[in-house]
Amino acid sequence: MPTGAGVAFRVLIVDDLNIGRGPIGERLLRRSLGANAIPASAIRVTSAGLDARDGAKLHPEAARLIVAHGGNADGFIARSLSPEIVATTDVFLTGTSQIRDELVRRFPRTARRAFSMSELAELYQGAIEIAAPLHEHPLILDRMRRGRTIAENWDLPSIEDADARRDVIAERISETAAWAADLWSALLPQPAHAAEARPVGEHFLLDAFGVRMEVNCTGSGARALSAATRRAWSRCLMPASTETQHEDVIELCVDPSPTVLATARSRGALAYPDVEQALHYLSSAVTVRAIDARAGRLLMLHASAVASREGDVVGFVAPSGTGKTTLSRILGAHYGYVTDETLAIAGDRVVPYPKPLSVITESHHGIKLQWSPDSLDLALPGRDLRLARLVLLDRRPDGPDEPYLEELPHLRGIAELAEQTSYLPRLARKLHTLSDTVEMVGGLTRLVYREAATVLPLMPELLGER
Amino acid sequence: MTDPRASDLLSTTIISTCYDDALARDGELLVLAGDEVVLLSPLASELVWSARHGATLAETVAHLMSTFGAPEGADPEAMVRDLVIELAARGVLELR
Repeated sequence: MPTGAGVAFRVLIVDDLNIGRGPIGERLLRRSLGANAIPASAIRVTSAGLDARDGAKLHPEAARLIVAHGGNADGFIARSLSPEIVATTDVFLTGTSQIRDELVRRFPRTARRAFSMSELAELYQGAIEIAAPLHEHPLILDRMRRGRTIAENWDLPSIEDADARRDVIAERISETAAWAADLWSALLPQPAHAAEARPVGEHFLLDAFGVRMEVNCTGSGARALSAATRRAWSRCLMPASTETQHEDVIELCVDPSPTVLATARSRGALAYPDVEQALHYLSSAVTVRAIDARAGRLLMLHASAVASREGDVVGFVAPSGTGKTTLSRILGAHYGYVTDETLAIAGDRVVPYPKPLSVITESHHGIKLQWSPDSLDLALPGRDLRLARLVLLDRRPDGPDEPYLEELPHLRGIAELAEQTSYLPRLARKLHTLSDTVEMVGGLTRLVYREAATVLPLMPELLGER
Repeated sequence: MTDPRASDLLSTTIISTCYDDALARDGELLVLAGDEVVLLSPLASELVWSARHGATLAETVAHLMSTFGAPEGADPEAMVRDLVIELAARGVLELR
């Protein structure tokens, strides 16, 4: 299966007969992606049924509900799910866990990529800031659900059987489609045709591990947005006199008017009612677009990193939401802050990405605030950074008082590292690049700990200073 | 329609590899298939290695029996069938 930047992310909605829920999901998700200016060449949404009769027409009630929610019901015919369709799909969405389980029973290879809609919503809610390319989300979400109980299984029966509940079912599907489209669209490049329609606002260049990205702030809140963004991204901001060309543009719009926001989204902008939300989503957008831009050229790990005065970098590899930022704040007070999210490696060199840190602030429910490493007074790393050590983080709530390190067998370590590597299939030497990198730093180490502050005394050992 | 099941495999079914990259160390294989990385057990590693140029199910069972001996209290062919199906579902093997 082809993967990566430039290849459409393929979403398949699966139900039983493919004349009710499935087509509603397909057409309303297409509607919402269209409203965010996401073309089918970026995200392709289709549907199929486990027991569908090929060529069957849409249920009249499904057609009514699609149109009632602003979708297009034209031209739909049902199709049955085949191994060929399965082979070309990135993520499978079902209305209920029962349909998901039946899908996996018939097509075991879908097991790590099939989610019920309620499951998808709950998993994303727990990791709203997955700063990884869209193609990597299914396996990331699958790892998140291991050993976890999903609280709710939405009641989304077949449209054919639902009678009075049909409108409620369609409303839920519509809301989920809108929400998923908003989330995914932030992680995709803005369409080329949007450039002409884009107003020129307050704009500046950011450097994300060598990728030059223009941020164009628009809307009535542009001035405040620009000031807040420059402050939060102070260490990635490129000088105003820089005459280099940008590689990507992100239009970021803040405005209280829903109409203005909808218009901005239709030309591919990230658009929000307030600065805090805009900054929150900008962080993932910059990271993911920079990762896309360097696919196949840099080894990019989900990792935080700090550097010694001599430029020796220790990378702490871990999935989103498992303690990288907290550790960066603690260690960054004493060692140079390199990144809290994406460790970019070229051979034995590290390209820094000192992005803002997401910090939970009690006064803003649900949204973490973006703090500049300067505001947090984190130390500056040297200019010439060399990868010295890679550590897999294992933070356990019931972990030890004293953290400890353990060496990992080579292949097992590479297997874990691969799960936290972006665009591994695009690297010319694939697993061998990981293997060479691990051997270069003397093997992989696991760090088991509970409190980030207890890790600080281990730094001299990790840097080989004792 | 479904993915192939263990009962669909014939003794003449050809098993071959279709992964994108692999690392071998100490009798184990780590393979990259699509965007998934799978660390194989010694038995699965030997199975995949033996299928690198294509082998029938019967040849594969015979090779694993000669390498590891007969499993205690289990039907070796049934074990191999299940393993082949699992590796095919992971994109490591393809079946003809």
